[in-house]
Order: sequence, then structure tokens, then C-alpha cells
Amino acid sequence: MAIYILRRMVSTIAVMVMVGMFVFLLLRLAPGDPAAIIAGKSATAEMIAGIREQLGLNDPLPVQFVHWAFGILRGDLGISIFSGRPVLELISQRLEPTLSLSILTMILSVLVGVSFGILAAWRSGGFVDRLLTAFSAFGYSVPVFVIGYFLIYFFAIRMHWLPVQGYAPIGEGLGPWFVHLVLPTVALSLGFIAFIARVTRASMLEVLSEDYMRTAAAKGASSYAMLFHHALKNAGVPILTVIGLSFAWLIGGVVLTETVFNIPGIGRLVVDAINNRDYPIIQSVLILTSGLYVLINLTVDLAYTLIDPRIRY
Amino acid sequence: MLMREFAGDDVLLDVRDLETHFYGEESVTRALGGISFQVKKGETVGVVGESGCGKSVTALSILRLLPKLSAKTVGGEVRFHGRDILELSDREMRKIRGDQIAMIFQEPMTSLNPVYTVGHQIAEAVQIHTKASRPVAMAKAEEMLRLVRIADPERRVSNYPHEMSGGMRQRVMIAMALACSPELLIADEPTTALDVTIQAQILRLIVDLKDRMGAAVMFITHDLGVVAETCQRVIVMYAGRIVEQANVVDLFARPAHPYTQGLMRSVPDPRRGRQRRLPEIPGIVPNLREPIVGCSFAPRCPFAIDICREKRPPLRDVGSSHAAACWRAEEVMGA
Repeated sequence: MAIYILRRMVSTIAVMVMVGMFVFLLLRLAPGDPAAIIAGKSATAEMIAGIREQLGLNDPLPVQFVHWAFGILRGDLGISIFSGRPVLELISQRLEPTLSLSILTMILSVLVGVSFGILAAWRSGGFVDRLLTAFSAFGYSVPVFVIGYFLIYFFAIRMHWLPVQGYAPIGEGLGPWFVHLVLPTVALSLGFIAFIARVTRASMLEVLSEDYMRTAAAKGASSYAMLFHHALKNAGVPILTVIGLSFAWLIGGVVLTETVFNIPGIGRLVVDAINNRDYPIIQSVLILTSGLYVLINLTVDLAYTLIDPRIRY
Repeated sequence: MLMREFAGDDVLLDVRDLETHFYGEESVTRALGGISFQVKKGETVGVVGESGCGKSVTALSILRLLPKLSAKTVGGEVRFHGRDILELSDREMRKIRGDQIAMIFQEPMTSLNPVYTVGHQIAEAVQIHTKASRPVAMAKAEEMLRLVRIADPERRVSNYPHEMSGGMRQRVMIAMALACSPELLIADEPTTALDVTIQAQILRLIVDLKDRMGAAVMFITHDLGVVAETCQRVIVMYAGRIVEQANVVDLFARPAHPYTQGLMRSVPDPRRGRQRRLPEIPGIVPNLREPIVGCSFAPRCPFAIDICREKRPPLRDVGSSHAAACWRAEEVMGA
């Protein structure tokens, strides 16, 4: 087990170096001279040459890469071209709204998706099951921005129950923070709920027809014990896998949701950075999200061993 | 034995006209066509017949463990201690399962939950039916493992099923079934999936423990050898009905139904040395989706006459505690 974790750590480092190279080359391979892009359209030749020298762009590529990579390891993510402020500072300012939205979305999606899937499997062919079929078609196919604007229109503009847009930092009180996050969380969760519920249903259905479920019934176990004690843990590996995948897909959804609901998070930062060709920000966010992906993958793989004793590394 | 007056105090299980149907896309399979039998306290009854004759369906119907969507017990009574358990609520039925009536299944490899330790799974049965705390239940689980003669029970109690062999897993199943000292143990082909050498051990174990605990056992099997070794009384099933029942000595000495005779002939007898060819019963099992006119065995029966193809023979007494559903039982016994 320890050896496995160690091996995974080593391969993680390898993956991150590859990702780093790719992200690094992104700027170098983009059309045009990075120095010219950074300097802007109205820059003179001397200004561009100055920037080239300052950024070390005259060094060979590998040297540049090593400089850049060690900078990141030291926490130096570079300077934003557009605002001139350190990227690390910009990202940490935007971290709280994004983390709040992501965590709430995952909690809601897992709770609702897993319970929905269990109920649908328990009474397969019944009302809940048919409801899930209809709901998942809806959840898969209607994009976040359509659901988002619909929710805003109905719950905020028509009913005045919830704020239309924006974000309230958690430091200003849990109430406003939560109220602002309700609609974006729901809008972003629908697709994930559909996805997690479908997989949970399929996995549970398979487990429910296993011989050991009949053994549990023959022991006198209650329906609750059968579903949540005997079946759910056996159905857990695929469910855990889709939860991990959902985390990975979350990042794309967050960008859209933050735009629709005007939340000042990482997603918005990236969208603005792309519009402004603010490469240092794009690179940093890419590196950080890739790191997060790899970490989630590792966590999920290790979590398998907790639910299924037959899985040993 | 057919007479209801005999339903005295010593009758534990009294099944009357039990009828179970399976529902397919467009057809109904009459898996049990109305069967009646009794199991007395402490008695060992064998239920024999070939695959698909309704042996397992009988067991699952009694415990009400049939798949809900595709099967239904449509008629009859299952009187346990005089009370019809088909009428009980799900909640009341759960109190009986695993406590008063327990079951061992055919497939030890898949009948245990792979993600929990065997100790946990035995302890669960104890905890469902008693107010025992987890440590007490786990101690009981360890005791049960010792009882089913698993070596090193202190250690084995925290093993997962995949760390055990098939024979050991079946011992765990037995430990689980007996943990609450049931009055009736239904063993559905408990040795079929095991190695021959292990089969004998498991059989002996069930018989020993049954005697020690005073439980009645319903032994479902297709193996007449198992019946001869373990049972006091035998029920022979064919096409969803009981065709013969008798105590084990009478059945083997004077089988009264041609099907029973056929079954016995198709068992290899080592005393006779190498046989040219094992006799088989000609023909195939009838399709239970179609209504059957007359005796369901008639198309395969060497004794069949006109009445056999027209009228279904009732189960009738052909001797003391010996009944058969055959119009020509007397001639069959004499043959």
C-alpha cells in the first residue's frame, strides 16, 4: 500500500512535469512574439526588446522552462499582463467564491444524486424510476446557462425569493453567502445529479440481484439495511468513480455558472484572462487545475480500498 | 399422512395447496401447482426432484423470498406453528426469517456479502433478532464459527469471504443460519457447488448440528444419496407437484411412482460394478407454461394408460405413511 502510494506520487510528479511543459509551450507556441503580446499593440521595438531581456526570452527554451517551473514551485506564478499584479494574489482573491460554489455543488449533487439513484433502483420501473429517466434526459441536455437564466427569472425576478446575481463573501455572514449561492449551486448541480443518479441506479440494480442480497433477506434484514448497508457499499466503486469524474468536470461548469450569475471566481478570472490574452493567469490556472485533477484521481483510487476489501494495491 | 387430523402439536410446518406462479413477458409459468406437506419438529425431510421441478421455489415461497416483480404465491397456506405466514405483514415476516426459519443457499461463493467480514455477517443475524450489543454478537459469531468447526475462529472471524474456500464459506453460511437457533432450517442444495470430499463433511456437519440444536431440516437436493444418508422422510417432486412422499426406508424399498423409480435407476450403483449404460428417464420435463391434462409424467412413463393422459392422479395413500400420485401405484410397487 505504502509502496503503491509512493509510486503514484512519483508518477504524479512525472505527469505534472508533462503538464507544465505543455502549459509552458502554450505561450511560446502561440502565434507571435510573447514579448510583443505582453508589450501590447502600441509598443516600440525597444520596449519589446526590453521585455524580452527582462523575461529571459533570449535564453534557450529548456533554460526558460526550468526558470519558470522553479518559479511556480516557489509560489511565483508570474505577473498578470493586464493588471500588473502577481497572479498568485489574483487567484487567491478569487478562490473563495469558486471553492464555495464547487463544494456546495458537490455536496448537493452527491446527496441528491445517490439517494435518487438508490430509490429508483429499489423500485425499478416505479414512479421514482420513471421520474429519474425524465429528469436525467433534462439534466444532461439543458445547459447550465439555460437553467441558470430560467432559475434567475423565476426565483429571483418573478418571486423575489433569492438575489439575482452576485456573491457575498462568507466573512460577511453565512446567511447572505448561502442565499447568493443557492441558484448557482442548483443550476450547476442538475447535470451532475442526473449523471450520479444514473450510475448509482445502474450499479445498485446490479447489486440488488446478487445472491448475497437474498442471504441478507433470509437473515431478516430490513429494506433499509438491505439498501444502505448491504447494497450501497457494494455499489460504491462505480459511484465513487463518477463522483471523482464529476469533480473534474466541475471546473468547466464553474466557468459558465460564474459568468451567468456574475460571481467573481476563478472561472471569471480565466474568461477575462482569455479575452485579454493574459497568459500568466491562464497558465497558472491550468497548472493548478491539472494538479487538482491528479490529486482527486489519487484520492478516489485510494478510497476504493476503503469500500472494497478485495481491492489491494 | 395425508389426513389433516394428524396436524397435531408436533407439526412445525404445514404447507397446504401452495401455488406459485412466475410471470414472463406473455406467459405464466405454474412453478408450483398446489403442493401440501408437513414437517414435524426436529424431523429431517428431503425434497428431491430434477432441476426446475419446484424444489427451490417451494423453499423461497415458504420464506417469501421470491423475486417480487416476477413471481407470486397465488394460493395456499404456509402454517408455521399453526399460523399462516403468508398472511403476515413484511415486518412480522422479517422477524421469522433468520430467527425461526433460516436458509442455506446453494452457492457459497456468491451468497456472502464480499465487502463485510464473515464475523460481521454472522453477528448481523444475531443483532437483528436479539438485543445483543455488537461485542456480544461478535463473540457469538466466533462461537458459531467454532461450532461449524472452522479452525482458528478468533482469526477467521475478521476474514472477508474472498479469503476463504468454498467449503469454509458454506460453513459460514451454516453458522449464520444457525446463529439464532432456528426451529426450521431449509438447506437448498447446500453441497452441490462443493468438491465431493467437502460435500460429505458439510452434510455431516448439518446433521450433527441439527441434532444438537433440535431443529427440523428441509433438505432440498437432487441427490438421492444425500437423502438416504440424512433424511427420515422424503418428498419427491415433479413438474411443480409432489408425486410421492414416504419415509426414507419405504421409498427406497418400494418406490410407488414411476418417476421415483426412474430417479433411482439413474443413480450409479458401485456394487453392480461397471454398468453398460446408466438408464435414463426418456422424454423431457413438461412445459409449465401450458396447462397439463392428466398426469404430468404420463408422456415419459412406461406404465401410462389412458386414464393417466386424461385425469390427473391425486396424491393418495399407498401404505402407512406412504403416498403417491399415480393411478397405478400398486402395480408400480409390485413391479
